[in-house]
Amino acid sequence: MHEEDPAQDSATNELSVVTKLTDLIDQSTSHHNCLVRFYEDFCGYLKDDDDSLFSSPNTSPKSSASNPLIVESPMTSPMTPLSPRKHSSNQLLKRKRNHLTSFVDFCLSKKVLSVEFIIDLAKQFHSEISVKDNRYLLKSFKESFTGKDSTLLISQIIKAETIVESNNGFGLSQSDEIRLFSQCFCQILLNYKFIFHMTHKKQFKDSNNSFYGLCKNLKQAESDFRNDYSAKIQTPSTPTSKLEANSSHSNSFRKSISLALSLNLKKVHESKEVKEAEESEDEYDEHELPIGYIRSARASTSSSSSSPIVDNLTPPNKSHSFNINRKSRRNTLMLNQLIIPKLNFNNLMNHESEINSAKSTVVEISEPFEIQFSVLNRNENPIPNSKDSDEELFESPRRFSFAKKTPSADLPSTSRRSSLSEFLRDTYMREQFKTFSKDEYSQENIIFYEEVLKFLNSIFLSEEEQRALALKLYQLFIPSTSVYQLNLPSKLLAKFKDEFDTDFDNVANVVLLYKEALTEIEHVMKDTYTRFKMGKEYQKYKLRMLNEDDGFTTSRY
Amino acid sequence: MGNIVVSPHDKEGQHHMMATPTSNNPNGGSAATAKNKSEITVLLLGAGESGKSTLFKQVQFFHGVGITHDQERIELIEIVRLNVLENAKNLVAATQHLNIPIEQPENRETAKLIINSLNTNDLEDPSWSKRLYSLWKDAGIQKAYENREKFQLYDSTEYLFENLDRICSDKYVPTVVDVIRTRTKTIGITDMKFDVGDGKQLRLVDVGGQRNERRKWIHFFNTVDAVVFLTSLSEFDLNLYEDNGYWRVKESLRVFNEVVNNALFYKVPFVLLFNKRDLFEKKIATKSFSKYFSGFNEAEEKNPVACIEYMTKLFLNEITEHPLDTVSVKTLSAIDHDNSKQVFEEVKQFIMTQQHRE
Repeated sequence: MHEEDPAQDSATNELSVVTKLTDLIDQSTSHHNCLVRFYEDFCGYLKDDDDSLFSSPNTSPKSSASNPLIVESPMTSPMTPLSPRKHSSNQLLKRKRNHLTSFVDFCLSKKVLSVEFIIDLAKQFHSEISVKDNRYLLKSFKESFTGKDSTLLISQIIKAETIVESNNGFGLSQSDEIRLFSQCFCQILLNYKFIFHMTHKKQFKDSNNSFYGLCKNLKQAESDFRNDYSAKIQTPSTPTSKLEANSSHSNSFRKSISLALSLNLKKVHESKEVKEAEESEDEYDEHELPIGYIRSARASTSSSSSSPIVDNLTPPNKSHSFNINRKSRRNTLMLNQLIIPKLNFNNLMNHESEINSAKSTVVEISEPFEIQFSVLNRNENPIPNSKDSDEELFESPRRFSFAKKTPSADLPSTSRRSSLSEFLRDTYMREQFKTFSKDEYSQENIIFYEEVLKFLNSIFLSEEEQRALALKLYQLFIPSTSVYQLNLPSKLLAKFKDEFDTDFDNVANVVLLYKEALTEIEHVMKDTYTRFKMGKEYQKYKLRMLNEDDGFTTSRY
Repeated sequence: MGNIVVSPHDKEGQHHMMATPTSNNPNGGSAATAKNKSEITVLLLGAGESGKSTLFKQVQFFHGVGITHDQERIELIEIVRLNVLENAKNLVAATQHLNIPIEQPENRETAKLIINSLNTNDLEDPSWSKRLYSLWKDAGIQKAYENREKFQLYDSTEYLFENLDRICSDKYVPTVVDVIRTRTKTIGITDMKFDVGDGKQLRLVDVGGQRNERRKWIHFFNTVDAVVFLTSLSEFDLNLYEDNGYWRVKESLRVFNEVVNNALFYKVPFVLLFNKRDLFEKKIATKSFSKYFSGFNEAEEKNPVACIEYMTKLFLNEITEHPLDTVSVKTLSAIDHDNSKQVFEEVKQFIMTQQHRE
């Protein structure tokens, strides 16, 4: 009890400092969801950062000192004995700060935040900040404010303490986390020239010694920002739909980030993390789905690391929120595909209506899709990792490169398909593999693989369209008279035949059959793949992979 | 080894041969390349699971192309373990299909895991050796195994389960026998070349045997110098992988008929290999051979030689166009290293002498 008191005191002190000032601004309520999402990414990013810190090959003594698990010692603060997850280690904080810039860039490219929000934020910032003349190291900065001030102000504007949840386990106290989080927004303001650095540095620093000025022409900066930011976004112009489109974008990205990150987690955090995750899972509110998602995904994946046997028995219990998210992820994924009119089977009229229609389907998932999703989900439960990689096969290049950045390559090759499907995600290597297969007279398999993935990823088609496509595929690959007859077992062929006799009446069933066939063909392709591995092209590929792991980027050709 | 020889050109000439495989990469010599006089192309044909790739692997092994690279070994570990899992899955699925319950509750748990989640990496854990073995020994599974003609199962099942303690270990290194025993469905067409002396090269072409794969054989038909047709002796009670309900022997006969009577092969030496003799001898000890062949004398059905003789007649009856003196018939047990080496030498001699005669 003796130790508990100072801990509580300091916590309440921190809170009271912040809460005193929160009534000032009411701006954040409308963008609360936006912020929550951003915060999730933020958490995920910091976690990820931890991982890279653990796994970085050149762990100097210095960086190992900043390792939160090692620093865990009584010297930090009186809080540590009670809550071992909070480390007020300065070095850790510093390290996180250094990574913030890249995180901000990364987030901006993902457009989690809406334009309106950032502009509002900037305006408020401009009106609230107190500007004065500062002196530091014999230099004077006229009409400036410090980094520390601005961080504090931002944290008040966005009511950071309502969003930031402590106990996230990256070894920072809540106040530190709030500062760090607010710093992200300062960095954004700096990036878009709402504020400028007195000595023209690019990185925002949360300190008393770095000084910033307000931009002279707020209107100009605003319009610049609008152009700059919305050029990337490509959304229809009404602000509400912008917001929605943004959130749906962020949805899909967030899913993949958090999934990949949480998967990555498991290597390091092990069983301790499991406990933590489960504890915190008990704490959170049911209705806050986004955060819940991260938690539950983390819990299930990290438990899978500790006991692979349990893994596939648990999903049915835990998968409730998981499945819903996965569903919406699929939907938003389609949105990506529809924007890029690469898939030949959407005859939608123009850009805007495409997005609108796609968006409407995101919001209301109609009945037949439900069935399909549940069917698909059930089927992919044993092999969730590889399914993810499959989905990424035909997405936009931007997203593809992003997927490379996340540590999804680190996933252990658990399923029998994963190494091959991982390999086939590489467009260039897929082409090489196709050429090789052609020489071996087995190109029908890789062609089927590509076509069926396209088919399975395009479930936004109407039932009729789906049926037509399924028929087309059937005629191309299944009967003995087809051009690319596949090597399938008789059971599956009989099932196909039965479905065909009913003119593919039950499309959901047919989709399931194609999935089965896909698994089978992937298995079949292993024969070709084994021989392909002996070839020159594969050696080059492997070398490239190795180099990328080391942080070098070599040209693909 | 009890070979029935139709051709008189079968000598035990132990020709010395340099074992230098030149290419395992089909990119190096696709079918389109101009026919080289010094190159003898030998096609390995036959229906699915007749042992073409097994013989191919054997030839690869006794021509010095063993497992050399560590990477290759790792690949092979994966393949062997995948075979184990597939066998286990097929058996468990069969118990459901045939309505034979797995008796021990803990084995039922194991079966559930196998169907749902187990992957090849898990087999590194030695505890799986015991669990899988006890599953294998379960009365239900054994009963399903006895009825294996009713579903699709690899021939190597028993061997793999008996060697689980080796396979389920993190130190496992596949032996040559393991590799020979594993089954991978061959897709497309692959080839391998090696020197056979006299400045000549032998190019052995392996193909897939299922119906869809057979359509690809035609690409090689006009460059061929010899055909080795394999058929499995032990398939007399089995149905096709790609068409359940279609008798394998019937399919083999049909394919043999199509190939041997093909006009392109009139002048080409032809070898008919009856493979899986070992399995066959085991099988007829417990199963009735005459049940499947109405014309066969029931009293002789436990005598493998008589059975093989009957099968030989059956196949040779299919030959309507091909000159009989260029057809050689042998039996083979492709998983047996010495036997397949000997038989392949004989086949090679036969082909070479036929070539000389031309």
